[in-house]
Amino acid sequence: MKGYAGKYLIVDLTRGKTSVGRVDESFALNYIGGYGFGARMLYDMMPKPAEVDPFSPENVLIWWTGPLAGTISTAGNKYAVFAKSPLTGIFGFGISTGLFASEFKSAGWDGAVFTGRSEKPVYLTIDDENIELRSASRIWGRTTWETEEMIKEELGDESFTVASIGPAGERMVRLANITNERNRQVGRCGLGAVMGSKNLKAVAARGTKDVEVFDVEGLVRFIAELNERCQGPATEKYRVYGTPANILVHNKLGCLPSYNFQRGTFEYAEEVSGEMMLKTHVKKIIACAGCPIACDHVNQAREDHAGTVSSVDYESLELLGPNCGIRSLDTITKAVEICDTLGVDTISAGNVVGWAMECFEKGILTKEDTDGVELRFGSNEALLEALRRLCLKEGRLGMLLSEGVRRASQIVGKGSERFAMHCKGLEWAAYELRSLQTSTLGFAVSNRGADYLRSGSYQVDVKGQVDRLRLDKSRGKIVYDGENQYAVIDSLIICKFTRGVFKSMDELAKLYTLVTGLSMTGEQILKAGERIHNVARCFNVKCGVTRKDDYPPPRAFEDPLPDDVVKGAVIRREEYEEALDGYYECRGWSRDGIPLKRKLLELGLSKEAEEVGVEA
Amino acid sequence: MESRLRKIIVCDPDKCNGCRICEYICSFASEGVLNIKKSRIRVVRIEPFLNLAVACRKCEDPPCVKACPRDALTQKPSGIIVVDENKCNGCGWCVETCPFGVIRLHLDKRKVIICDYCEKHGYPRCVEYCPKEALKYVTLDQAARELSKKAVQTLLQELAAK
Amino acid sequence: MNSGWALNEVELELVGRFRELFKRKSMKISVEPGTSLLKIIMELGDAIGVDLRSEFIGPDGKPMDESSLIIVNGRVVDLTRISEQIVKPGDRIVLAPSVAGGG
Repeated sequence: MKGYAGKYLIVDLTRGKTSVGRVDESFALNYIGGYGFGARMLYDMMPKPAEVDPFSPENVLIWWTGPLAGTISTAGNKYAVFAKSPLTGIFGFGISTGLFASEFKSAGWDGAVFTGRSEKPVYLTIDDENIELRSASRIWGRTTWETEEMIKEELGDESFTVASIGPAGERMVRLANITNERNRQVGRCGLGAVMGSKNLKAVAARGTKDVEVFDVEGLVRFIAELNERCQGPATEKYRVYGTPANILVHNKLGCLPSYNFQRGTFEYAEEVSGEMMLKTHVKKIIACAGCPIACDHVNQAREDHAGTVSSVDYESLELLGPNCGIRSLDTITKAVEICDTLGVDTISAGNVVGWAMECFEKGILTKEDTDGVELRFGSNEALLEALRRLCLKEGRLGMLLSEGVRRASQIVGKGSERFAMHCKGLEWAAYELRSLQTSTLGFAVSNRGADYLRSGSYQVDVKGQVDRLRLDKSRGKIVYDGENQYAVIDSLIICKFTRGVFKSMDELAKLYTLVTGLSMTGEQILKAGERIHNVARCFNVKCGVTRKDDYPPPRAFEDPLPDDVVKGAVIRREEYEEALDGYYECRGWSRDGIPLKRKLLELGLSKEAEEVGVEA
Repeated sequence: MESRLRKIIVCDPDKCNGCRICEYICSFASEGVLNIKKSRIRVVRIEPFLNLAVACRKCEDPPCVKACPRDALTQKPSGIIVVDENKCNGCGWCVETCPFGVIRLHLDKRKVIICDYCEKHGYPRCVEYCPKEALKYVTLDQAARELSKKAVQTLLQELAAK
Repeated sequence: MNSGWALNEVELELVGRFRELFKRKSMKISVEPGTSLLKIIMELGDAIGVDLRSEFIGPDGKPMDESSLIIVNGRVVDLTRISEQIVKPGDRIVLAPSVAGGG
């Protein structure tokens, strides 16, 4: 089998020892790579996840590329990281992109598994077969951007690529992320904090080997065609305005969260729109390695924060902008820089600060609680100060926010849990809940918690294919189909922006076969997607997840939207129950959300059937 | 051929976004493998904004040819530098001499590799595969003309905006 | 219906590339009673010399995955029905690119 390197690295951080594991053909065929490999391995390596403290040495940190990394495959240089999440307490997972994945594979490795905890700060270098744990005492405390530069300098070669954590990860801020090549992050689920808990500052990779593929001529021809399609209409939105194009569209649809999801429109949307940003702040659009689309809009701030440079996408822009009542692109560019360099997820950070602002305005948090910060919606200074303290766990406010919105709201109480916008502990991304209801179902049942990246179910809402202000049983099937497809995409791993470029699952399977030489049909690969999703769910069931956890926050049911275009929109509880039932039925799970034995056996998951599955 | 008539690979830094597809396709075009470390074209990214791909410029009176102590490098009339692998011992003098840093030592063979403009294929594959048309295969004269055009367009836009 | 409107006017708002095509953010246009959305789209396209229909409807006469959006009074229009949907005076029509999410 080609495409895969065929082996992964096992690093025992407690003893400072490394060993090698093998990737065999049946593992490859059943679980593809990326998400699939991570789910399978986390399930197997952590038999009793409910008993594992995410910050203890018993947590396992797993990195995987997929078969496409390092080949010329369209937007396929991606890697994924897994662990039990300190933010959600369940299956934790995030994907990033860039040259890092290509170098990692080119060094001859598909993945790396970290166990235990190093006594002192270290970083790992992967230089073909030469593996080394090096002291990170000199770089501990440095930002992600400084860390990349310092490691390259220390190793004496710029062609090392570095994935690292910032001060937030070191301090085990539950929103901490992992950054490679400055602007690309394994953003969600606080996996940077798991690295911090293991005293692992960074992974640096450099590879010199050919990445062997099965049919290189055929692959290069197919990629030429796919890359050509990437210049067509399916990806224009990403190329020109980037994802910030969503701001105005969502505003027109009443699904642009503002003021901590109290509203679905923002009166200053024009000022923070993708259109405005392109005109006034975007200095360069750059691409991840191997990507013909190029969506990364790098901003340069002007007057207020002259010289500040950061990469601003829709989610960051929205949650640090409208969701906090902020209308200044300079401030947002600065806010993203703070998050990226100190190392936290912009989505979760913007969400939890928005929640704190609502608390402050309602008198639930006082100036005493915020160490003097006037935490009001729309205050540029307050946003930046809150973010800085969050990242550094500074003072009462910093400590509180660094816990994430679920824990913070439990600490504060006084009804603030009602508007803590999360599911399973993961902060809600920038899609309004009541005016995109299929999307809301997709977020709420996701394996990661409130997650816009696991099913793409918002698409039927915004395309007008369903009544987005209501729910019914049929939505379950839409989410189910989307999740299975996305599980394949996240296992290959390929960028979701290419999804309009592939005409069918058969084309994805064809790409897989050209690279690996393993025969695969669209139907088979989709089945693998379903299998992968079920393994991750079984891990979550072991962590205690049941139907009760598959709901959006109370605001979705209790606070009708005030905005004109979607006035009064709210999720009706009985409709939601019906949609959730419909989803479980498609999945072959019990009414309580537990996979049925017979479904698991049908997917070839006998271990899960025995340990987790229930009878009908 | 006079150097002003030689076509070379030029890169527009405004369009180049650092995707490195040219490096991947070059390793395939040159050796039938996928490995950017074997690419004859090199992408340079200087954070946070600058991205540029550079390949052999077909210099007139090329310093690399002069530098080689074993006469392993010669320049064809078309401007392409040819490496005689029997003579090259990988000493790397040419690598150090190239003002553009586009000569590399091959990782396995320990001989130098230099862009041959996909001579057998007849057209540089990197230019064909560049998704943003940042790479062009043109004479320096044509490249200059494009630059003038762009400069005038920018000027006109600035005037119109006033 | 908003009483401030001239009898046969609708408001057109433009987002994303449509803003570039029309070189403006919004405009008011007059429509004859009983005009379909499709007819308006065709006429708008003719006025600027662009095949505007192809933004919404593919060569096979059906909406495409990457079809742009038409939003009338906050509702996303089902693109299979734009030849039947009649525009009323005072309607607010938005032309927008489809939504881009997830990386």
